[in-house]
Amino acid sequence: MKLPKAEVEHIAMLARIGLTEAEKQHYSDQLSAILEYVDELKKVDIKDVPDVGQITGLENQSAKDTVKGCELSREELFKNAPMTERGYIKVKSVLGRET
Amino acid sequence: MKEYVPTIGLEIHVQLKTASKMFCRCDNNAEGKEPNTVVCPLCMGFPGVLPVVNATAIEYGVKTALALGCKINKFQRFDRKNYFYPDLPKAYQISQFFFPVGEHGEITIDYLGSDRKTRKEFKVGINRVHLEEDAGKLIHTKDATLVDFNRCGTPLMEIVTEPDITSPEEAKAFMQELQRIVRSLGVSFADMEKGHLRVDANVSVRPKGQKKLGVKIEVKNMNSFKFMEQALKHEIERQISALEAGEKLQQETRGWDAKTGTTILQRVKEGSIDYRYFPEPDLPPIVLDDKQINDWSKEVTAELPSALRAKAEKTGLSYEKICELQDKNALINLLVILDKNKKLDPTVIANYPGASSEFYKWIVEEKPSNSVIRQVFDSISSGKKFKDAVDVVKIVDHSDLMVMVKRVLDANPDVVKRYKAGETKLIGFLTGQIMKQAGGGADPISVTDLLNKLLT
Repeated sequence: MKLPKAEVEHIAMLARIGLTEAEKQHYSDQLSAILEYVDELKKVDIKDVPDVGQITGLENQSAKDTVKGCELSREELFKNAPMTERGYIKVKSVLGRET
Repeated sequence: MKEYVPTIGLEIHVQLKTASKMFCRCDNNAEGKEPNTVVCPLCMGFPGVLPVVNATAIEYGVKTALALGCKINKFQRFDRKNYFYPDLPKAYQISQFFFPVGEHGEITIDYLGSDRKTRKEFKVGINRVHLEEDAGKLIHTKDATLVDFNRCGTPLMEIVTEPDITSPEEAKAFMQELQRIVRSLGVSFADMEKGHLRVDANVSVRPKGQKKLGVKIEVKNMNSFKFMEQALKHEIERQISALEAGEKLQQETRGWDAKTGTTILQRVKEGSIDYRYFPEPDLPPIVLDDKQINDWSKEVTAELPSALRAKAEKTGLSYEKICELQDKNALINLLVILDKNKKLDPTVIANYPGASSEFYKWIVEEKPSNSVIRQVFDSISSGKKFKDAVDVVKIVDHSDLMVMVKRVLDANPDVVKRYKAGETKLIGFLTGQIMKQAGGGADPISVTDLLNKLLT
């Protein structure tokens, strides 16, 4: 089944990316191919396979509630931030785009 | 006009007062700190970092769920909730979707109605209690948005009630009891104005007799008990008048505006958000055993605010007084004091909560009059040391009092004569003179008794 254009637009909105009409067509084809491939898995009988959310086999890996501050300074942590202002990371205005 | 029934469900976020954050060991107390100074690569969402869950946050979550009568999930797991927004640097929030801390709870709220006299009671179902991490704080300037990640990763507990609340008064009573619960369990400071306790409400109205619930409207931005009550009252009235005017309500989100005292329509979402929840691969599941849950359950039961009220009622105090003391955060202390000093009269002591233990010991040993207790309590409250406060109102012992009485009688032979001739009201004057000499350190009733004996 081909992924409808509206679905592609919805996914693009969630990913916060703008697509041209040609790209929408292009991604619709690509995403459909991926979904068809995943559909193959639906044929496998998994009736007796338990739900797996973790493969390490670990349980209860927790830490004691004690403060251990970061050794890195704000300046160092900000090194990869494209824009900063007065100790804040600066991004494009998102007012009116509440999630 | 038809009669309408409101239906209210609440969604509450409680900020936990752990020392460190939910998944990293950054300081959880960001109050008064410079922006982005209690952060690390983990809570700033740098690639390659691994979260480790805070053991105390799990304990706090389970204890609260127990206090709310929930069934605890012995198997808990964290999940990723995906969305893009600048306050969320990883582009997903770690939350619990499939296996929350607790579910299917119920709590009975007994409370004093807004007239502060009528005692009322109702039940609220708890849909779920789960743990998650808070997002950062955004500051909107003219041309940009500034991001502070200090609060990012703070442990949050989300509590969702069933739509069992039928009035703004009940909603307020529920929130106040919840605040008492999380405070007495010591899991949150629960200060609404500071955002430790955030509440959103789903409100609908339906004509009386109708089974089907009306259209649900979400109300946000109620950051105090007062605002919450006002916002809900206003929203219920607004919905009723809209229906009466023949309008059709539609699902939407409205924000309380304290300036205008109304709820205002917030931007309608252009499409539903798909959070694409899936199990958090970086966090192994939490598996609790029965012993651990039972131990916590015992601790919780002993600390429940309703249990404290029941205990206080056994001392003979009135329910109104008990509620008043509990809201002043003085009930626990009072019960401890009464437990230690069995001779204290609860109804007297209830007027003087929060004093030092030597103050109560003094009451038991010296048996001062009510006016003397009040005097000493007031001067302690105004900052005086207990010893100095007591020195001022030094209790006059019986032999000293005798001397004072005689002195006053000797100094006022006239008054004594007139009293004996029948002007009995002059006893008030004499009592006053003696009280003045005793510096308030005598009990006026025993002084009058003594005078009566001496003058007849």
